[in-house]
Amino acid sequence: MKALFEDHILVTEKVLDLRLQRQNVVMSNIANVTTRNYKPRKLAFEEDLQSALRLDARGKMARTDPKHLPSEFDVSGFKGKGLTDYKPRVVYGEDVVDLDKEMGAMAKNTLMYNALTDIMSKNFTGLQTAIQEGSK
Amino acid sequence: MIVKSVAMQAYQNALKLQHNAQSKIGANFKSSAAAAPQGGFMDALKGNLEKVNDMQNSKSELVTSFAAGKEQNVHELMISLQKAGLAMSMTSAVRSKIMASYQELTKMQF
Amino acid sequence: MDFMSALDISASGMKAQRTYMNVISMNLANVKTTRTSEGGPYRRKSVAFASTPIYNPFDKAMEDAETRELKGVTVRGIVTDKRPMKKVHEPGHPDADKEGFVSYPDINVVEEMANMITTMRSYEANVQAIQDTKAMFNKALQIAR
Repeated sequence: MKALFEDHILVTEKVLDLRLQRQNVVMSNIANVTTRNYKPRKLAFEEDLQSALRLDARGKMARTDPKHLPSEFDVSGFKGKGLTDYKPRVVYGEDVVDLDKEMGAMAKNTLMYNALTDIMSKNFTGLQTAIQEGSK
Repeated sequence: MIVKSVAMQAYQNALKLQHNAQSKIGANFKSSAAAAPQGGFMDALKGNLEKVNDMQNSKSELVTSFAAGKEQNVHELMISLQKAGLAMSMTSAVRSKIMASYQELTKMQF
Repeated sequence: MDFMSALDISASGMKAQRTYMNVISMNLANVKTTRTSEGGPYRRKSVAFASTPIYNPFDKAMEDAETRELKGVTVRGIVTDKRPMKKVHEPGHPDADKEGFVSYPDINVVEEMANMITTMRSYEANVQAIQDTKAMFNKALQIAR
């Protein structure tokens, strides 16, 4: 039972949450396109995830804040609090809301969200097939 | 596709060995049925399982890097997902066929 | 190869076309303006585009050699046209010079309208490029459906 749900399922689950949050931030930017003194915001989580999953070329880092993701993700660490407690950063931009850039960001986000949901359903179907075949 | 030919080869090996076992039945049923399927057949099955496991691992890595935003080739990811899923289904189909044919062998009475 | 670069490039194209559209409207509105805050009559403005790389040089996407070749468009600046002004003889006009000639900006309304149509078509083409990129992505998702 330990490895029934593999690592990539947990990561995908968390990233789906993060993408939904990003969608909210982008929509609030678009709604405020004519508001004076509104600085556009964006949600940054990709670099943090990649460096925590050791997908980039950086070396190991010290962890200075318990809220930071641990710089080494090992398999058993996933079950702990590392991933579920992660809160993404909201970055404030400069002067005006650029409508086209926000629409582009929204399109990108939607596409990635759809792809990730397809991946999840395919994973679960595969697991179910394996279980059913094995019980025969 | 590599997986299909390996799986088919495993299945054909199993059939060939079953045929061999059947032809030797008049002489000494028990020993041939126990000895003949063991050699090449088990190795083929093991090799196939290793390949399927590799596919699952590479699929897992690809999904993680896609979710983290590093890799954005969605078609590569989808193809790898399908490959892994099909390899799994093919392996379980071959496995159930082999189990069924082995059980038929043991059910033979004289 | 980065999939999402197409979206960023089209977004930069749309932003540049919108800026151009603003400048064209400004030109059309000021066809007969003879007094501006800088002193003289209004001079026709146009936009200078420049092709710039879409990503920050330290971005991860730039490690790929093919992605480095991809460039979007940005507005380098709004340039003032150096055409000579149109001089019309109107002695009673408050902005007439000593010989009675008033300098009007040399803005051809038909030319500006043609530019406006081109801008709109470019904007639509960029939007269509985005739609097509999204359709390609969704088709790829159907491989595994």
